[in-house]
Amino acid sequence: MSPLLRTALQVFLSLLFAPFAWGLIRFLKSQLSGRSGVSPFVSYAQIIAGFRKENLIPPMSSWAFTGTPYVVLAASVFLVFSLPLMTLGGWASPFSQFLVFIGVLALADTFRIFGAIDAGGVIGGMGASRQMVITALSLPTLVLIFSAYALKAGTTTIDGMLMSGLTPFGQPFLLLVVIAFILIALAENGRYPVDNPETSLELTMIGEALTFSYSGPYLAMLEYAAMIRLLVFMMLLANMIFPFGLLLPNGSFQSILVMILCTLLKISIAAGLTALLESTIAKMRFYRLQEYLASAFFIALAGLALVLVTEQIL
Amino acid sequence: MNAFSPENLLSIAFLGTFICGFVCLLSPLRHADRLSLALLTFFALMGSVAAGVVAFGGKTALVLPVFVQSLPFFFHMTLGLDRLSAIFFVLINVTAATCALFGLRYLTKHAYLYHARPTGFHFAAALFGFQGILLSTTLIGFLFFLEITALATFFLVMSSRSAPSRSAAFKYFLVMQVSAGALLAGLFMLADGGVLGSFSSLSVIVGTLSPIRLTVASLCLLLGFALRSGLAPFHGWIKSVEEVAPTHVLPLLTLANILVSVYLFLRTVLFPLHGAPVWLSFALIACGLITGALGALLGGVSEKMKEIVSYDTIKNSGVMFALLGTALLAAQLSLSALANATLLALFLLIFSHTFIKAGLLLAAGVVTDETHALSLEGMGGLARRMPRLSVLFAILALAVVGLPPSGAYLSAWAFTEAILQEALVIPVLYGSLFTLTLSALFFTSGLSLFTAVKLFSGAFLGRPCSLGAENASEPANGYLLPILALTLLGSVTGVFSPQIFSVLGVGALIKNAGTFYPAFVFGASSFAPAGFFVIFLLILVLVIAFGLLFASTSKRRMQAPWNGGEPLTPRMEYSATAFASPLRYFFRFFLALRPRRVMTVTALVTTNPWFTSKAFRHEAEPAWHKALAPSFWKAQKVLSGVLFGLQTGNVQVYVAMMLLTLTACILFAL
Repeated sequence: MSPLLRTALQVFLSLLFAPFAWGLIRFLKSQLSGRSGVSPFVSYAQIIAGFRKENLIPPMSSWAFTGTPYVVLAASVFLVFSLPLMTLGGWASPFSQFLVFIGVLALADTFRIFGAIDAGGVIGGMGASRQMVITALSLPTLVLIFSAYALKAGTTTIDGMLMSGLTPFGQPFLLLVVIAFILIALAENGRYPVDNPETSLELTMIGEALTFSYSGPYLAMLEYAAMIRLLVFMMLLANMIFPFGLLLPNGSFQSILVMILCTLLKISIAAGLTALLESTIAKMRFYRLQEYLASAFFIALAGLALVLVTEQIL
Repeated sequence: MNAFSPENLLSIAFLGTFICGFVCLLSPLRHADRLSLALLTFFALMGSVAAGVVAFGGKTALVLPVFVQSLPFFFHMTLGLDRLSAIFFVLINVTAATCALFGLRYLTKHAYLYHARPTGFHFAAALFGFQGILLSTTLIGFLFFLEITALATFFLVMSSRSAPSRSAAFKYFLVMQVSAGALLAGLFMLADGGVLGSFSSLSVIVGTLSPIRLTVASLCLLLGFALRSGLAPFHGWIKSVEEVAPTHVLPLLTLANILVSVYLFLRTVLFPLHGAPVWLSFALIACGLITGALGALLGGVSEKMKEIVSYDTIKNSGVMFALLGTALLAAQLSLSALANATLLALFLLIFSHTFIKAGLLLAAGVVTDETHALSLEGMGGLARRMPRLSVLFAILALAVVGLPPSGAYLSAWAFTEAILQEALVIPVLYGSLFTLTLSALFFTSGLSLFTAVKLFSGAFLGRPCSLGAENASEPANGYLLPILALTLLGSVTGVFSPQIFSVLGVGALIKNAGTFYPAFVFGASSFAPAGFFVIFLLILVLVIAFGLLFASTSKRRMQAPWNGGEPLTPRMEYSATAFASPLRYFFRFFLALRPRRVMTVTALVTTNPWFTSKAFRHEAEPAWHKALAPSFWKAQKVLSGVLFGLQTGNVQVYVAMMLLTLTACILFAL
């Protein structure tokens, strides 16, 4: 199967599974708290309904408000286009470099913040300020995480890192890297303990505050982009720990089926663990996040130092 | 010789710049100042084209014709360009040309504030000095032009004749003279007293010097570079100068000085001085990283627009010197691949930063002008009032922090690739040092992203927070065109950098990736910025098309956001100060020494804690300033006032001052 076809398949499946992954976490959280919860597939209806609604535009807003949903969604689509989520050696694998990944994440975050502030409301600015601090402090940690991985794998493309077959089981130092990645993934996707994605309390909002002034199709686009981003992090983490079930360059028709099944399995496990985590821990106060983000930074730095030392001394 | 040969064009441009100043000062024409700026634009561009032949073309060097060098005021110095100086010549001259173009409108509009003729003369003299620095092939020539520049820019800083501008000018003058003295002393020692010799002779002499002399010379040079490029703790002058100087000369005052420092470092230290003490590399890396982090952090918590931009300049200066230190260390350790890659990263940053920051400085000047506000607290909502400028500003702000595919991003990419490929094959101590440098640089980048977002969103988004912001309108084309030109140049140097750098002698690191566009290549990794740009743009177009086809994006209604039951006013909006409060809280220990706001709360009755009297105090001057140097600052204010009195427009006074400062410098160095 050609690289272009495999990449197209990955993009299609990622865009298809993203609302499911989001809905599954919500469903499992409800189950864990003793409620029946809504079906995981309601997310699809939510997005489609959003696309059909009317847009409410704040009178003081500018091109930044209307342009934001497009840029944020395009950034998310670029991530599923370039990263090795379901296939290795895809057509856009040269762009799976970790600095491109981090740069595109930063671009999306920046525009989300622009959109929130441009509405001129009382909540958007507060959320923007908080999100900006999280972004500013978590992106350097992501660089350290992938630098440690890259040192060991000998390549800076995430595609190449996964191809190298390194796992935390075979390389214990990667355990630190994976822990730091989990911490940052939770922060970047606005999950517990950093943020509550389902809160209706304005004063504690971070991610929700950014989309507070959006409605209709623009809100649907932003929510869809957030779902895709969550799927990206889930799949990257799953592939870092279990780099199997990925479609390879010489993959057959059967391997496509295996890949789809493995992807669904990975999504289910990641969603289950996220739901479990969110049901068992409390949200952290915002002004304690410095400890959380600093911990992630130093864990990643320790991972990096461990690679340097183990590779050169041992 | 062909009349349009690069040598002739360069000579005409150089002498033309010199003459422009006198046209502005002495011409009886009514609009001589405007004519001078227009001519300056022309000559700067002409000079860029001639230097471009060496920088990007087949020629390896240019020497000015003998008749130019034998002119009396050049003292028979050899003047010419090689590839290194030609690159810097192009950067400074293109930036100066756009600034002069901007100045055409700026000086007309601000005729009440600036004397157009002396300002035009000083501008031309400063550019002439910078051109001369790059054309000099001898140490003494370099120092001669350095003094011309220092003097001309000194008067430019105090163009507005206000007390703060005089104070800033004096501070600037002091910094430049001490820097020149330190550089002169360092170069004297390196050249073993023979300052009439050429730069190329340095590497021969350096090998014969004793370790003590080499160490002292390195210390002097480090001090000179740190002062001139605003490394911590000597960064104060950049902030004070950018706050008071006329907008159109800001890029020359700050960026050109930093560029000259980097150029001189490459010329005198990196290339001939591989045998320099290793501590010099460590010191440079440490100074660079501390300056970078300090600039990014202080930028994040500042509220004044020009102050934020200044801190970003300081941050970038720090990053450049951290890269220079790394390149020097790599060269000392004989890691040629790492040294070359770090130099590539440095040049990518320099190219991008020069144009982007110049654009940002000009745009910030326009915004403060249009809104009559210095602080972000008095701006807001400008994206609706000036949509074209807001788009340019957004591009500039995002490019300056290094989002892909900007030049700053590529610089970070190249540096990361080089470090990660070398870290495991060098001793673990150095490997750790390089990776720590990398971590610190990305930590700085994260903070810098915060600053850029705050800068753009505070000024352009949300509601107008003052009458000035409410009544602001799109600036005239005379302002927009130079900013547009710099934005385009900054973007092109990022997106098409492999093409540009393939002609700059780093062809080995670039290849045709085959699939997309020419790419930078390190080992197995490659990155094609144009390819990334095209793909992202295509995806964006597809998403927009999807939105137009399948979503009801055209169904829209104006509706103010939810306001919690209260009418929404700009004062209720999240302010720029509040935006930075998490950052201020997270880094409170590092920010303890800077100017601060103090709220004193006194209980009015003992029985009820809610009845209080609140007093607010803003300590504009840091505590250590007040404690350590009150008399020094008073004296400098008096002295700056005296020096201001000399700004008469009289050429003889300028020449006398130049000779005086040159003599003082030589005495200091000796």
